[in-house]
Amino acid sequence: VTGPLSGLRVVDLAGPSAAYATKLLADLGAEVIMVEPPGGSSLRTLPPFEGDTSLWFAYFGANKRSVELQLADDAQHERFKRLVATADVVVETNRHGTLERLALGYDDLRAGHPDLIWVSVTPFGRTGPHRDWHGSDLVAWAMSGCLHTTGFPASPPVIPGGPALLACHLASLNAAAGALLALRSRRRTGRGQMVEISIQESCLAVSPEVGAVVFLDDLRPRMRAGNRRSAIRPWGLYPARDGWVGLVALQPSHWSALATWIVEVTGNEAAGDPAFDDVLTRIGASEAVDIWTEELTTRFDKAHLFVEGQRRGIPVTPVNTAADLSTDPHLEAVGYWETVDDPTLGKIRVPGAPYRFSRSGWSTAPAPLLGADTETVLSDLPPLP
Amino acid sequence: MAAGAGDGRSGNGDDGDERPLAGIRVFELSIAIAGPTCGRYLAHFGADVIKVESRRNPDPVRVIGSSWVPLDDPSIGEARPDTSPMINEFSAGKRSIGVDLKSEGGREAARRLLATCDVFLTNYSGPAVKELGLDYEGARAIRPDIVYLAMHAFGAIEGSPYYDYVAWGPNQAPLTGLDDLTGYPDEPPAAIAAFGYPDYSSGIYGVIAATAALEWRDRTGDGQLVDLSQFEATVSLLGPFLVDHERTNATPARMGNRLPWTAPEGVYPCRGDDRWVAISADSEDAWCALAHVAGHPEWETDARFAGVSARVANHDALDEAIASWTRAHTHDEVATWLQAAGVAAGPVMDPPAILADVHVADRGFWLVGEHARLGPDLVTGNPVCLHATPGWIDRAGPSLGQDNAEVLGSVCGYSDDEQAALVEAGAVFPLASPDLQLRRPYRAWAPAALPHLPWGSP
Repeated sequence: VTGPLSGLRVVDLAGPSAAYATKLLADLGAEVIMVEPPGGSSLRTLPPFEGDTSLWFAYFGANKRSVELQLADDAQHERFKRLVATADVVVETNRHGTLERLALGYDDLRAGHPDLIWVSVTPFGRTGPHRDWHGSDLVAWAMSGCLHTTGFPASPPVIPGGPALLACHLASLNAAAGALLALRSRRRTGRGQMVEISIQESCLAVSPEVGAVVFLDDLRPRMRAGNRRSAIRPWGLYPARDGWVGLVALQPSHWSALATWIVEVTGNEAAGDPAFDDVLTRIGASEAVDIWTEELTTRFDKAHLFVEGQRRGIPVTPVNTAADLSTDPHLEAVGYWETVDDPTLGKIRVPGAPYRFSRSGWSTAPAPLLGADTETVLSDLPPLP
Repeated sequence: MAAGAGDGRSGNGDDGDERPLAGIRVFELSIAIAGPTCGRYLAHFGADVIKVESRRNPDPVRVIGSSWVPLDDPSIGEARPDTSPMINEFSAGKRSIGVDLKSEGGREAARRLLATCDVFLTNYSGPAVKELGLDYEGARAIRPDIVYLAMHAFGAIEGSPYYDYVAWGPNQAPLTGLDDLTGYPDEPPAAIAAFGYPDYSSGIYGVIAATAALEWRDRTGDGQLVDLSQFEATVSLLGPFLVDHERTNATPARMGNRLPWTAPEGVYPCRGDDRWVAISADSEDAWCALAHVAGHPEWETDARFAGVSARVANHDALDEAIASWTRAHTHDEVATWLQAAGVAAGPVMDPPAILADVHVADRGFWLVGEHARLGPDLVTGNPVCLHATPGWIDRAGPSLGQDNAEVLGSVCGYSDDEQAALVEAGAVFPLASPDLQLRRPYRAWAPAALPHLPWGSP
């Protein structure tokens, strides 16, 4: 089945903050052409590796084509312009001014190509006093309010998701959404446009629960509170016999089911007192509620707490690792995993579709070798008008 | 400075709506954060998003209301949930109708509304929408070309192992391994406890899925079921680690703020109480620049720090050296000096610092929308800037049932008498205390103290 974006050509100059965006577009059917500098994209240098192959690259580069081009070289500069002239979308993560200095910025390339969609992802956006500031995943989280509130009170603030580059992923999701929205505008107006994503703003946009606007309303300082949320109880991680589980008793029915379970297992009748059905009462007695909950959770393995808790209608989930996910029965049963034949790694099992379309297609493919498509893609590009 | 034309932020509804989703109507049956976040993006970019809500089983982000609204003031009563700043954050730009979908009258109203909609968006569980007759089969019987976006926690495949399970965003972070990766190696997992990362990422995945399905509908005329399992969507963010485990049996461990491929990378203590600066010196040039800015050019020739592998291996010593410098300065000083030298750095900002920040405000990130009870209200912005057809909102989060008359009348075709009968029968929940007007306490001081934020007319 063809994907909803079949026929769309995307030129990809993305680093880690947008490489996932172009993978998403590729898997929806777009033809994504990575333009890599001689020697290869910096994505190919990100560990973990197997042999010489970056596994970040194996995932981010999936389903894309690779063209090796030296943009600063005059002849290749011209070929790049010809390539962009055939494209619907350009996705790039260069610092403001970098492509402009090569006369390959948006303003240079949209001349004669008014329907071009240009997606720019930068640490702080293309305007404002910090537009030339350097960024990273960590710096974006730092300047969003989310880092300040993540971690234990006695330790320094700590990045959400560790090395998983979650700020970059947010920027990528926004970049893909922005490209699709601009495509829809183009269908209506016939014109392309600049789509601008700031990684800092991508993090700010996920900050409402710890964020500035709600703070203005309640003026409660936001502090690090470890692996539980102070606003509600029980909420957060609780110790199991062999690890941890996440427990979020947000609705009244969740607490009553949990209280019943606690009473059954521990004989602690106090937990069954209907006074604790009121969330404000539980918050007031946070310490006791936590102890009662731990008296239950520490008796069982996380897998048992997951299955039995869910059977009782309680939102409880195990704290998993990659090892747990690789054998997760649900992912297995729904056919989540895909296998692709990587040119250097051979057959590898990779995460499948983040969404399942009942009619339009989704499919993935391995990441390309450096320059694998240079000749096929560049050989017969029409000359510029 | 106000946002100017062509910056991807400005726009207004006066002269023809040019936004990409203008003309698209969305039936939103969502609570909490993931589904509403998707709907909020769609509304920002022009869709008419109608949040269908119950007063008996309200959206939990409404329930607590605003902390300054007294719990027991009878004059406020059922209007309290309308004041929640969270309803602004997750539903700005939407319309709200109060409908009891468990009543026959409410179901008929939902059917009439659905017949006019392009997209059905839900993050209710699969069994819950089925019970309401609003699963995909039910919905497409009413609107055959509906784009049905099912954002269930565990997908729409009946009979799959977790199909009946319940999970909020803060349950997905542990389940998908994100919590285990968050924290320091010698401590328990710190978890992403303060906010629900997977809620937001799933919401944006929803925007991608909905717009891709609309593209498909434009090309073929066909609607479809889009099964967006929040679990699977979140797992997809961990690709490299899962491939690594598959190939080498490696399981990534939490490593604080460090990364395996660069050093220094971390937060460092600064002058003041709980003040930190984040530093990512991700190249040799950046590392040398840092050494010079810190007044320690000798670090450059220190064998422990010579080359990125040495710095990664000696990260503890590196952190100690850098902290001995940062401690004497404020986080803003350190960040500004490093940035001037080309090193990625930034203060670890708390909400007051973010509100005071001129860069974010100058970019027009913050929004203001009209709230039915509170007047102009400040709302967190949207990170997607379309320069030619920017998104915008004209209203903040709707009060429950604020748009009953318009939607039930003009869209669903009920006469005034029929609407009154629906209310009488308990099938429609009317707006509580329609004349109640309140004022956020900060409106008295914040516009003067934070003049760079958009405040609207008082």
